[in-house]
Amino acid sequence: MPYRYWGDPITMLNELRKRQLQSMREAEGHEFAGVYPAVNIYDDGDAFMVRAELPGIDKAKLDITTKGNRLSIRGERSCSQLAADVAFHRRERDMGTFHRVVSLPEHVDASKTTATYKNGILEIVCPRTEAAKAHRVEIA
Amino acid sequence: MTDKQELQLREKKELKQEGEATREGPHFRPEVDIFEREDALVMVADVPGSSNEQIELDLQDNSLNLTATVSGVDAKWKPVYLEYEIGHYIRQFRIGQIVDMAKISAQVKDGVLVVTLPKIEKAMPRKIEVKSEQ
Repeated sequence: MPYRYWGDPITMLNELRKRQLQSMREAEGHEFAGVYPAVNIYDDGDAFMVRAELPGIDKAKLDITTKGNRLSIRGERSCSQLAADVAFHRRERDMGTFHRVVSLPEHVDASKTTATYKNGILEIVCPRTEAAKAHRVEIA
Repeated sequence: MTDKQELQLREKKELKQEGEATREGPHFRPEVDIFEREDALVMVADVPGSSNEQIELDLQDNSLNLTATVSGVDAKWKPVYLEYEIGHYIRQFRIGQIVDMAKISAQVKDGVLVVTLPKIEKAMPRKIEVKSEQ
């Protein structure tokens, strides 16, 4: 690949990062990509963590369920600061309901799943089931 | 406006850096609502992941600069699948003459920043009483 194609090193790194993300998405073949909210999935060996950016959500209206390797997040984003007769200068934030189902790489233990909502970030920690953990072979 | 519509996914808008970056990671342009009440302009910005001590509002002449720092995920979590990038938020607003700069206030809750920009006295609507001559 010709050097000039990339421009400066920062652009090059950004471009590489984007391509990496893109290929990760494609490799996983997630059928639900493109649905609100966007999610990131992380793994620490024992559990998966699903992280979504959901600013201004009513915690009481969040409905999170897991079954097998599926995690469902349902909720609503509404606009509480609004009085009836305000004049908008700019309106970019969307309001409404959402329902997202995420497929996790392995089965998780629904009874041990925990969720926190802080600073507009929802983090759901789903520990693997004992059966899923047993698949891993430790090398002494 | 109905409140029950299904939310659509929007890609975060990444900002192209000009000059040298002073902090690591990408920067995004937060989505904002700006509306006008009788006594004030109100700006609502989505800055998920930022707490009150991580948000800076900086007023210079007629421009209000919003910078929200976002901390990433604990290093023990290895990414397996990513749909969005985590980054800081930056946006600049021009403030008109009707705002009383000294009285601007802000608060953040659940990743939503609300900035209240009170209008100066003379910009407020005023009802003029008509007196009758007796």
